[in-house]
This record gives sequence, C-alpha cells and structure tokens, in this order.
Amino acid sequence: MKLKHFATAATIALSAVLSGAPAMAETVEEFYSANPVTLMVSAAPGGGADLYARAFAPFLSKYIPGHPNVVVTNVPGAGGLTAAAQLQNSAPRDGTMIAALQRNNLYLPLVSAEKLAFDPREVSWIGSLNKESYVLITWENAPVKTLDDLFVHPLTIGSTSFNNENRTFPAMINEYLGGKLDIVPGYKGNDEIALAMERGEVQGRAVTTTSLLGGNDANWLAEGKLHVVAQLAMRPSPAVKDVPMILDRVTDPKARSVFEFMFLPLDAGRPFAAPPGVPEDRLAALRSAFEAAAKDPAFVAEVAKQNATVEMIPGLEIHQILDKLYATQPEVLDRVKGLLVSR
Amino acid sequence: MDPVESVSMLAAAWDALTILADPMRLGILCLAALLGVILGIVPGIGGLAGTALLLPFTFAMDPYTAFAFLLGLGATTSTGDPIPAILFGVPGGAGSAATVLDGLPMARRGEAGRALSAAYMSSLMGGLFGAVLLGISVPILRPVMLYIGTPEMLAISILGLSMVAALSSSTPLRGLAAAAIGVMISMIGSEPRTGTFRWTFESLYLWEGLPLVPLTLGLFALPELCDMMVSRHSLKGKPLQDVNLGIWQGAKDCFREWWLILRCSWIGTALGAIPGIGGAVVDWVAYAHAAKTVKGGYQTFGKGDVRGVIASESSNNAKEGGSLITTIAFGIPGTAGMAIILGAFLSQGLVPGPDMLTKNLSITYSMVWSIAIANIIGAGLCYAFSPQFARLATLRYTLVLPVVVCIIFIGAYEGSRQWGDLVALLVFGLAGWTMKRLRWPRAPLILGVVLGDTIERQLFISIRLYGADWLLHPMVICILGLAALGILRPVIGALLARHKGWDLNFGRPMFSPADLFPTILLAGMAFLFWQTMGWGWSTALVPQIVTGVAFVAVLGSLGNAVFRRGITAPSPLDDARAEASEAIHMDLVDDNDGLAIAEILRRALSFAAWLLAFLFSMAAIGILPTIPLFVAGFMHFEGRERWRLILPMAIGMTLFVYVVFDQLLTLNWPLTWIGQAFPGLRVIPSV
Repeated sequence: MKLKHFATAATIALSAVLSGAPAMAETVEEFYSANPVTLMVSAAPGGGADLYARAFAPFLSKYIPGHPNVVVTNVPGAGGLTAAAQLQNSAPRDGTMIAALQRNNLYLPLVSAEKLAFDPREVSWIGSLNKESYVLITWENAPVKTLDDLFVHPLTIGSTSFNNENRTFPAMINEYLGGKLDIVPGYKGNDEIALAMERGEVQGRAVTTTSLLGGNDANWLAEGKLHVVAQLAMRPSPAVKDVPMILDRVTDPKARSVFEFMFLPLDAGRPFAAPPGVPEDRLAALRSAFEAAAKDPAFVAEVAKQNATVEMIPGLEIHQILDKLYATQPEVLDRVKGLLVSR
Repeated sequence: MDPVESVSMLAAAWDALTILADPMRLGILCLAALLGVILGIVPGIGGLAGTALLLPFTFAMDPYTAFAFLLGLGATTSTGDPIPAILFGVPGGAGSAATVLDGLPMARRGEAGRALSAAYMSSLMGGLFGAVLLGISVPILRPVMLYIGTPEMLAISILGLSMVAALSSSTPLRGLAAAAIGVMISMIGSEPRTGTFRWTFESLYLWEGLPLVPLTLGLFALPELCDMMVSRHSLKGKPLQDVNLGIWQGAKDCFREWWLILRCSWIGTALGAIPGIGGAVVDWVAYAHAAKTVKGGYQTFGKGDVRGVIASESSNNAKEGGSLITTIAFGIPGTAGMAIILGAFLSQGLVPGPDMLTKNLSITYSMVWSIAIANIIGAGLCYAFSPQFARLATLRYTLVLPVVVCIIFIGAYEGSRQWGDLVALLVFGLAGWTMKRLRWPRAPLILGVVLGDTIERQLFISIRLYGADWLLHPMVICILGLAALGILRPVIGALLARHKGWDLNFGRPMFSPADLFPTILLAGMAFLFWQTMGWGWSTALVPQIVTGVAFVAVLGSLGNAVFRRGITAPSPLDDARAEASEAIHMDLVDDNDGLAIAEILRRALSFAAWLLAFLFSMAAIGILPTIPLFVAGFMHFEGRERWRLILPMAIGMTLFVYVVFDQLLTLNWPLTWIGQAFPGLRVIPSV
C-alpha cells in the first residue's frame, strides 16, 4: 500500500518535473486552493512578532485567492537572520513559503563584519504590519526630565544587547550630541529593564512607542511616573506629539545621515517577505492579500485587543527603504559600523 | 495586611474557583491535562511545542478558559516527563533528567511501578505545593521581587552553580571540569555587551548559543539508548514486581517523605521564579539537596533510591507555580513555556504587573487553581495507565529503540529546527556516552550551561552598577555564605577523612586508552583559549577564566588517573572507580555484564552507525520516508524480528510522526537532496 502511494506520488512528481507546464497554465486561485502557505516566523513562539503573525495568518488566508491554509512555523535564531537566510537560499520559490522577518534584517547585512547568507534586496518584500518609533523615557526621580537635562546630568539606562535599538539609539546620542548616558547592556528583554527601572537599578531606557502606550509603561505614564524625554524617530508620533524630536538637535549633516540610516528601518517595523523568484502573478496576489488583510477591521480589532497597532506599508515601499539604505555614502556607513561593530 | 484586603483576596480566590468550576472550562482543563501528559511522555517535545500550537486557539476564549487551557497543558507535561525517564532512561523533558538516576535503576530492579507511582505522587504534591505557594504569595509578590535586584539574582544563580560540588562528590575534579566546560558552552554566541561573537565559528546556528534541547537529549538520552543496544536488552530479565503493589508502595513512599517533598518544592518554586534558570537545573539542584540531607543519601542515591525520584519530580512540578510568579507580577517569563503564557496575556489584552494583583486578581487566582487542578487530573491520568506503562519497560530493545530514536531526532530538531540541532545531538550524545562510561558526572555540565551566561550577564550588570559593593548587599551575603558552606563542607570533610590515611604514594605513570578523552579535551580547550585572544577584555574575561579552570581540572584528573593507576585498578574502564572511594558517583553506572571492551565498542559503534545512517537518509530523502526504512531496517537486522511485527511498527510509527509532527505541529522539515534535485518530489511530506 505504501509502495503504491509512493509510486503515485513519484508519477505525479516526474510528470511535474518533466513537463514543467502545469505551473504555467494554473491560475493563482487554482494554485493556492491546492497548496497551503507556510508563514515562517523569525522569532520564538510567544513574543510580539509571533503574536502578530499568528493573529494575521487567518486573515491572510481569507484574502489570498483560493483561501489556502496559512500555517505558522517558528524559525528563531540570529535575530531573524536564520529565517531570512532560509527564505533566500532554500525555501521553495513557488509562493508557498513566506516569512515574517525583523527590521534589523534590512540593514545588518550592509554593515555586519560577519559574512551573512542574506541580502535583503534579493527577496521580494510583501509588506509590513506597523511603523515603529522609539522614545527615551526616565523614571520619576531621575535627574533627567527633559531633553536639555540629557546633556547636563548623567543618566544610567538599561539595554538588552549591543545591536539592539535600545542600545544603538542612545549610543548615537552620546556619540554625536554629547549625551551623558551610561548604557548598561545585558538585561534579558524589555520587561527585565522595566523591572530594573522600577526598583531603581537603572533610571531610564529607550523603548518603542508601542510598548510605551501598551504595557505597564502606559499606566506609569498616566500616573506621571515616567518622563518622556525625547522621540527617537524620523517623524513625530501622534501619541507623544509634544515630546521633542532628537533629530531637531542634530545639526551636523554627516551625523544626521547616521541618525537617518538608523531610524529609516523603523518604518518597516514588522516586515514580511517572499523568496526570490516567486512567479509574478502569485507575488502580486500575496501583496494585495497582505494589504487587504492588514486593513481588515477584524484584524485591526484583534491587534488593538493586544494593545498594539497596525500601520500597514506595502511591499514596494520596503524596497524603496532598502534603496535608500543601500545608497548610503561609504563614510556614513563607516560611522554606522562604528556604532554596530564593537571596537 | 489589613483585614478588608485579606477578605477581598479570599473572595477573589473563591470567585476564581467558581468560574473555573464551569463544566466547559473544566472540560477544557481536562483536555489540556491529557495533552500535557502525552506531550510530556514524548521525549524532547514537552510543553513548549504544545502551548505554541494551541496559543492561537485561545485568542477566541475568555481569559479564564485560555489560561486554564495553556497552564493545564504546561503544568502536566512535567507529570508525564518521568515516564520515559524511569522506563528507558530517556528523560521526557529537561526537568526530569535527574529522575533517571534513581528511576532507571529502580525499574531495572523490577520496581518500575513503584518508581512511576512515586514520580506521579511527588509531582502532584510538588505541583500543588507550588500552586499554594503562588496563591499565598500573591499579595507580597511585587514588594519581594522589587527587593530582589540583579546582585541578589546573581547570588542565587551562584548558589545554583555551587550544587556542582554535591553532584560530583566522588569525582570533584571531573565535576569541576564538567561544570567549567558547561559554562564555556554557555559562552557560545553573541555577547550582549559588545556584540562580539564568541566561539561561533562563522556559523549562524551558534549566534544565539546552543539550544538546550539537543544538548540534554544528547547528554542523557542517547547514552542510555546506546547502552540498551550494548547490553542488548531494555531492562534486566528480573521478574516484574507486582505493579499494583508497587503503585501503592510508591504513593506511600511519598507520604512518608512529605518533608523532603516540601523542601524540594520550595527549591522548585524559588528557582522557577528566577528568570533564566528555568526547568533544566531545578531537578538537579533538588536532587543534590536531597542527596546531601537525607539519611544515608550518599550511599544509596544513584542506585535506585526512591527518594531521588521524589526529590527530582516534586521540584520539577513545583517550578511551574514559581515561574508564573515573575510572569504575572512583571511580565518576565521564568521559562520558555512561560514566554508563551506571556503571549496569551498579550493576546487577551492583559498587562502583567500591578493590575494582575488588583483589578484582575480573580484571573490570577484562576491560574493558581488551574495549575492545582491540572496537576490532580494529570496524576490521575498517569495512575490510570500505570500498569500499561510499567509493562512497556519489559519490551525487547529492538522494539523500543527504533521508536525512541526517531522521536529523539524530532525532539532535538524542535530545539531550533535546523540541521545544527541534529549535529549537536550526536556530538553531545558521543560526549555523554564517553562521560558516562568513563565516569565523568554529567549533571554539572548542564548546570554550567544553564547558569554560566546568566551569571556572567548578572555579574557585569552588578559590577557596572555597584562596583564591588554588590557583595555587601545583605541578601547577597547570606546566599553566597550558603553557597560557600555547600562547597566547603564536603571538601573539608574529605580532607579530614584523608588525613587519617593520607597517601601521596603516586605510582609510576601508567597510561590507558581512557586517557585519550581528557587529552582531547585539553587540546580542544587550548584551541578555544587561543581563539579568545582577539576579543576585548570584557568579552574574553569570563571565557578565559573558565577555560583555565577547566584546563587545570582536566589536567589534574588526568594526572591523578595516570599516576594512581599503577596502584589501584587494572582495567581502564574500572580505573575511575579508584577515585570513587567512599562517596557515591552521582550518575548512572553500568555494569558491563562481563562484556569485553572490544565488544562494547563494537556494539556502540554499530549504534552510532545507525544514527548516522538515519541522519544521512534524512538529508537525502527526508525524515518521513526515512522512518519506515530505519524502523524496519533496525528491527530486521538487529533483532531478526518477524515481518508481521516489523511492518505494523514501521507503518504505525510513520503515520504517528506524519499526523502529530507534520500535520498537527507543522514542523518545518529541512530541505533534502532529492527534494532539491527533483522539486516535483516535494509533494511527499518532509522531502
């Protein structure tokens, strides 16, 4: 019985290989009604990226013609680069595999000292689910309460790791604006820094606006326990629109380019991609399904329940961001490397 | 606490219970407990994969039901864990590796029923205790946790690592070496302070360090399976003790040892509450504590003492309540499984933190009840099927081995779903078997791996924030004092004991093939030390110190063996016994059934060959086509089993893996050679 099954499969396979034709004749809808889509999440189960993806999967299925089953699978590792490399190098290129990657994947290959088997320009970006922005916050009793204090008083802040935005952004303030931040890396995750801040080990941290408005930070903010010192992003976020932008303090054009290079990927906060070489019609279908699903009120409500927001940007816009990043002048890149690569 | 508040807490606890008592919710909790037990039994899979899979289903549930579902599953996996540990020596999860040490010898004596029963009952009691402790501590959670800063956590981690001393009592140098090597392994990956990649060998797989699952399966599961193959039977041919009698006896053991269970539950709950320590060391710390404190523990532990099983299992289940503490109070998950529970918080729109202890108190208490009830259901289920489980232990090795090997491969692959996991599994399998045979204790290695980078991280934060003053925090002084006492007491004791007959009579040097292992280790460490040269000082400091310590310890152990061999034992496999004079060796010990070493090696090599064949076939034609070939091949060539037995086994196993792992858990299998050569063949699952 098994043998027969195998023989049938082999026959189908051989005919597919030999003719190569069926793929051409098939419509997108026919293809996807016969083939499920795997959504590879580049992070471990349970985190923000995973939750977005798992909540998103059924909506994606709803808008792809043929309504394929969208199966979520986690491929964590190397800050998303493991999944990214798999997507580019070994994932099937027929449109059955897409991945939720991380925004550092957009620029790390450009500046990393390591050889990486991923080039973000090679894959086809489908879209991103939100735009992120950062703020620098301090605890109520910290000496730094406003942006101007930052250059007068020292401030101990917590961070997770060397390459995380919660270290690199404050490090830029120190390097180019003369900030007096003492950055302590090594905390495991944002909540551990929050706890350290609450118990007075550190006095502040750089944090995403999403987190500021969603978790305990939101309560603290309402209770007046937090000072929001500065916005670390290209554009002001409407939620904290009175808080000064750090970019307004950057006068040196070279320094400004570094800030812009680092802030730009925030616009593709939760990027999704397909492997290189996916047939055009299927890629187009995936992109439009992504846009429609991200705008589905039920999905927006689901995400709102999780205290997060959806701010869709289409895949082509991610490619534009990449073009800008990769057009960066070499001397600016060198400065970025100085930030990201330990000396 | 003022009376009004305590009344409102009781009211919330009662509310939570009545909400959970809803038949629908209870039904879901039962279902979760059943799934949890099953996932616990399957080695390497555990609660993580299960909860991740079920998370989306909870999006549509109310918070009470959602947490009952996820916690019910998470809490009962550790009830199912000891079953394969006791029956085959293969821990069902990292948390029951210590159960193997006494559970397996008990099963070999024919006391599988008693060991299983003791495991369930202590799991139940530990789980309940953890839940009670969580319930009682709810009002004081946050103040206490706010008092515990990074230096205090560091001290607790160091206390955990100091258990190495107790776990390597008979071979202190080797224990120290194993622990230091464990710390070295934990250093692999990207270092948070400067982003330097330590010992990653340009491999993406190692960027975030070695995952724990393939490592524990390799160290503890593969050696047991290999020795099953070497001895050619799963358990000794002793008659099985009356199962029902054993079950009664096991339960009675637990009631008699209630004080031990209480202590170990404390350890489990406390360690579970420290982020980063997690399930893999809790059992060892409790086991070491029990060995140190119970009467005659040093003579009987590791040889089938039911108290070893009890200590390990009660702490293992109690940790669930503990790890929920930090998750609820601060949103910091104590274990990987809790990270998913945290995901459920987010998806329910709940914010871990003060709200959970005021506004949402009844939800918090519903979690406490869920853990408690799930533990009862889980233990009940295990008891119901105990006689069947106990009989599994008597199956021929040719029936057990192929099935368990397949599942271990998949379990290891669950670690991070890359080829690297399988390579790591085999490498650590080889290391584990060598260590077991040459009597190097394996538990210190795990402690080192789990605690090493946590300690380094917390150490640098503490020094950065407080300088050397962190050592003066009152709690730090107490805990470190406790750790020092634990380390020094056996050392002093040994010194005093030796003083009576202090013999420094080294013989003339005698070498044996067994010296090859430490020699290879020394060469490897020299190479790794050389690699640290290019790193910045804060990156290199800890790796260089531990490499140095490991080097000296291995060298000392080697010297000891070489110079004392002449005086004591004749055979290379026996020479370690010279070191193990009075204190017992806290690891499994195999008697070789009078087999010649050449024969042992031949059989072990053929086991390795089967594993490699599995790996190559998996790379070539995919895991699902490999499984029937492997099962059938193994049963036919190794056991000369009848085809009427082989075919249903092979087909059944393939279907099981297809349904559970391919369809339900949607594992993302690695690419295969024929899949790349003939993309059309990818219609076959896993190709």
